[in-house]
Amino acid sequence: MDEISVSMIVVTLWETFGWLFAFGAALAVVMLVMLVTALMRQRRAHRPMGGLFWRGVLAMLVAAAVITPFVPLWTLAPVGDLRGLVDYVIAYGMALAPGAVIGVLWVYFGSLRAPQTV
Amino acid sequence: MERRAFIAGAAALAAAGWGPPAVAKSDAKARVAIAGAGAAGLSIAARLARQMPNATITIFDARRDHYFQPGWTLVGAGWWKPSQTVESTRSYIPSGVNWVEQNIIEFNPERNELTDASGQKHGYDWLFVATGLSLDYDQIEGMSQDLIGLKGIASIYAGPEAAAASAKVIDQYIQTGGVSLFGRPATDMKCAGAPLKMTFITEDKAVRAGRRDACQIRYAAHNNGLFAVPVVDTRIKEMFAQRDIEPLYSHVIHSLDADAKKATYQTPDGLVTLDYDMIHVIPPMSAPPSVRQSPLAWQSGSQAPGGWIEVDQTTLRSPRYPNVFAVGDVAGVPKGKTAASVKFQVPVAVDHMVAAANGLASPKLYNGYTSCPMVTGLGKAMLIEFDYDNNLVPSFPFIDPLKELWVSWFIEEKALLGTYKAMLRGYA
Repeated sequence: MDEISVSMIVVTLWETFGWLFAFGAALAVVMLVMLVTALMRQRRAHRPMGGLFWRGVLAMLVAAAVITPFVPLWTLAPVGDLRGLVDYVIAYGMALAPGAVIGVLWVYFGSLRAPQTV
Repeated sequence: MERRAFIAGAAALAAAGWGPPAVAKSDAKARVAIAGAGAAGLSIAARLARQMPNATITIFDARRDHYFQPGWTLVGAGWWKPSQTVESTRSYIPSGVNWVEQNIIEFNPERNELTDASGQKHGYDWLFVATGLSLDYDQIEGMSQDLIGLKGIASIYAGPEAAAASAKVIDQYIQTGGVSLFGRPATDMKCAGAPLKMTFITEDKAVRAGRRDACQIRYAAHNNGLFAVPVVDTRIKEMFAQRDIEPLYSHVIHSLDADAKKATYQTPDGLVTLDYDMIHVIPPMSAPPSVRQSPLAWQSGSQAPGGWIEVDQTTLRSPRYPNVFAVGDVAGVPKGKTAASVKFQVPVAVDHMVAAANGLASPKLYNGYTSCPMVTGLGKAMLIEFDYDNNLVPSFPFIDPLKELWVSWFIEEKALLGTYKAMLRGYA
């Protein structure tokens, strides 16, 4: 564990997930851009950013909770095959990734409803 | 973007100062030979290529396929395809490292010389021996590798196809029922947890198939324990009792009658013959003949019968031939015949060699770390890590090593292969 480094983490993630890792990294950038765009749109419309942002966070957390029991499927295990608190915490942590996509989409489409100013 | 280009990008990050800390480096133009292109050999080559950029590094191995052996229990369970454990050796040979596609058949450390299978001799300044070990199926009378997959005989150790054939034998056994025999040899062996894993996996599959009552599962232990670490041994015995798996202590397989489906065991009371419908055979293991017959092997002590290489257990350096190191299965150390051990042994051995090339000493020491992700069924495992002194040394303190957890299974099923490949590239 004394040799942990950025390069080790990047190579390990690449070797574990291959192109899925590259896709995930690219998707994360796209989601970040969408989030910032949505919040800027709110600001231009003189509407509070905080409310929409926290609703997105809530959507992410709820979506992750719904997805959590399905995480074991990714490892060939049956749905809901979680055995201890640490299993639920780790599975929930993993479910936050797709949950975050849902949260960002929530914020993005929510911002589209804001009236635009010229 | 090619895989190599991506790895090069990661290497650039390392060069920018984000890489592994504090490793020895040398500009020496030494000749370094690596015997074996398995997990240890490739990992050594990758690290040496970075830590000794001016060295002439040559790796010897005839095998063009590289096997991810920790995956064979999952193949043997029928959960992975054999192809998931096979890689091209070529794709892991670091740029600038010479690959001689021949096995080493003779070690002559007095003359710093190796002889390959074609008869060609190769000189070296430094030598890493990482040949792996021999599976001695022929030490069990009546057994041969050709029998795997036939007549109720399973054995996941002989290769990915043998593991796949074993999966079919196990599935067939669960359908027909009867007595199954598992066990381990009395010799040192690689992945000593695998015999237990296959026992638990078979039991779990029988339960899931609704056939548990038809299957009598017995486990032949080579001594009075089921696992070398006392606290884990107690836990495994408890689990055997809960799952109605019968332990047979001090039973070492002696011979097999495949046609009659009878196995004979050496016990303290003499030879005992047991009937079976399915048997999972794990052969005795030893150093390859080229190593066993060389001066590098232990000449006395508990490691001598297996012909394992004599090394200091903390530096992996030969005391009699200081320019020789041994890493992986062939190293004559009390524990450490797993890929996880290799991950911790390689940085130590390489650092000592590179520091020595500079006339210095490395402070790094190997503490005997080894790991056994003990799969106990589909979706559950125990992540057991320990050292020479049988201390549990969990990498993740929040994961209970004695509890069956999905997260430990996740590490086995998803995370291990990526970490292993990163290790082959010298990054883990």
